[in-house]
Amino acid sequence: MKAWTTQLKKGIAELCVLAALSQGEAYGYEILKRLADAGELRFSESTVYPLLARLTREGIVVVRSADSPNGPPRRYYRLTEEGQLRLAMMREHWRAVSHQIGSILDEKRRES
Amino acid sequence: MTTQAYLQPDAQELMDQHLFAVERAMSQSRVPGDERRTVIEELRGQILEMVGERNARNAEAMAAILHQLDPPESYADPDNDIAVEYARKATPTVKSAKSRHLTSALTVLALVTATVGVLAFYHYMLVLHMIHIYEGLGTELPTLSLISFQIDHAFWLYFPLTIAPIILFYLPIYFVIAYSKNRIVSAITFTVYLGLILLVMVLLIFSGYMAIFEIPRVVN
Repeated sequence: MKAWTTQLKKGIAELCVLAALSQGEAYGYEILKRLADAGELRFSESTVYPLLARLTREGIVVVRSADSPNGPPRRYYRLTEEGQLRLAMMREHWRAVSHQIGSILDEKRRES
Repeated sequence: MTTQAYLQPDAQELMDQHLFAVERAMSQSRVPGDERRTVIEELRGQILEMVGERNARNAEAMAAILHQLDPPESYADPDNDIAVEYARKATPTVKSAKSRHLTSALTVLALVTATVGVLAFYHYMLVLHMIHIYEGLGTELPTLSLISFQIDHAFWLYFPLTIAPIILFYLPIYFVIAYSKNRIVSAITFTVYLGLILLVMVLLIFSGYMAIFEIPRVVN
């Protein structure tokens, strides 16, 4: 079960991070908090931070630095136009997939 | 003053050790340097934020914070899709240290034998055509020349000593090009090999021209 949930989270990590950023720009730790607040689906820093680095490299998000009261400057991430487009497409695809999965599960429930 | 400035030295050291271990794990997964730096800076910022939230600046508190975080190995976890993606792009296979050492030794051996083999092949072809040229001129071979010595005294020894590298140098070339970790070494080896083959071809053509046209003209 643990392996399945791990694979599931891997598949939706990018969608969740982009969705968290759609609420407004945020720095890394803040993104983790947004994701944790959403529910039990917890994403760890070892998943999110490398993902943010990759999204930056791909131009899906842009970064700006701002002073932090607690240490090094914070890196605030914000969706680019391409990032917003990707989020919209991923959201649409997720809705279709989750609807289909829901239909399959309902079918199985009716059969049983 | 920032939280980091208030950290006790042993707490700072614990944090630095953790970040170093994370950086090393990512480095082993072939994550590019700029992205490693991004992850390290984000992680450092998170740790300091957590220290600030809890007002905990000693080593014990730092250890508790680090215990909550993912272990450094998870940044090189094969199930971590991002690390796997980079590792796959960077190198098709993960070789053991012993395998890499063997590959390096084979590479050096291949380069040396390829060089010796190609030079021997070149020398052998040159010797053959020198013989033909001298015979065509009707001139006695200079007894003091190295070529004369080899032909008079050690031709049948010299012949197999050049044939073996001629046969062997194809294999080293293959090993270098196919197995060398360093693409520049492979490219240079292949270029040198082609260059020497072209040189030999030019020499053969020149010698053939000399033998067929020039020497008979001189002799006549």
